[in-house]
Amino acid sequence: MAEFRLPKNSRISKGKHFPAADSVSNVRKFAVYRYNPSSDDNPRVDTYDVDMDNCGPMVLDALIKIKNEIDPTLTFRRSCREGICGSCAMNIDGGNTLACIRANDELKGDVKIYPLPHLPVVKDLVADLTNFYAQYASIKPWLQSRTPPPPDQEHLQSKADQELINEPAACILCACCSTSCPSYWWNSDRYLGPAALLASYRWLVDSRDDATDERLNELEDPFKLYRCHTIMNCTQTCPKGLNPAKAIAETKKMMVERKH
Amino acid sequence: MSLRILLGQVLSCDSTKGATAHFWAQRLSGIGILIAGLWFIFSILNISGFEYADVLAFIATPLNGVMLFLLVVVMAYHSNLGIQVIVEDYVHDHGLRLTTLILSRFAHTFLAVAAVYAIIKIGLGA
Repeated sequence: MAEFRLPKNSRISKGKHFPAADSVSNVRKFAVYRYNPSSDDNPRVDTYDVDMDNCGPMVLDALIKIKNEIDPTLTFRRSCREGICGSCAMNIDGGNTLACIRANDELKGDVKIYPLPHLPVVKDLVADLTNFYAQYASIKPWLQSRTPPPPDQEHLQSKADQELINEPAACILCACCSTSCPSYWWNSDRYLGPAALLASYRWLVDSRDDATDERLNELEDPFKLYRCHTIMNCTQTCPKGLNPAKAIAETKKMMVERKH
Repeated sequence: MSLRILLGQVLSCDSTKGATAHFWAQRLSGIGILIAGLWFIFSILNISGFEYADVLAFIATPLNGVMLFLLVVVMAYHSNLGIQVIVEDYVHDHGLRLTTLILSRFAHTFLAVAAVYAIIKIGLGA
């Protein structure tokens, strides 16, 4: 059956509190999920008091400040710090987003930070994305063209053709959408999830791709595509403002249309 | 776990054919219920009375009998498809899933046949 409670060794306990110095006036509390696989302890939530007068504007700035100045054991992924690499995807204040483009000012009260939901946790805020990447690989995310390009140039696209793939191609594979989807939580072993399906749609509508039918054949399965129940958490949470739910709906339409 | 092994797992998920037919049947039967359901609400609001004899007379009318027949059959069909999706979502044990799906199909068939039998019986005045 679906699991509605965390397994015993995953239940979260109260962790340590790291108070700010008395001289600090502008304090914000950051409650951060901590888990160390090399100890037998259950996960815990540590609370850090951060001096906001000497902190950058984004949640990632606060995390980096915590790691640099308060607790070097805190583990999280980050790279570009401008919302294009997708590394710092995590659950902030109950919603999946990128820590680097989520402003502290937008959040009310204490800032609660957890790893992406319903994935195995490697350490602290680092989730295991192996299955997610394998699902992405399974949709063959590359151009499959049997038509040779003209001898003196590449395959050309019209402006309208390009506009079709502009949005789905802007996905950065941060996994915010897939891990916000309840259907993906219960069936991530067989349901591809919104990110992989958005990527699949990007190639389905590519005017240069010849493998549309094979791609649709691969999705002809009760789980891979049809576990999407139009919950729309994916679209609501996407930090890049993309619409995976619409791409999935369009894919379902293509599946029906080619049958009639 | 290596990426290769996981990719193998993802790719080897048996691709059960007929998923689109299931999806499409759900939509079409949903539209059917909408039409027959609206007819049902409208008819019940205009029924001459709610005494036993009134309701029998209502069902015995040919058009009403046919529409009720369609409504219960399409509803049972749609419900069977919907329950199947819910069971596939939440019941992960293979044996339990199969058992639940079979029981659900039997129960829906029984309900539909019982309702159809009643409508025909009343319609024929037997």
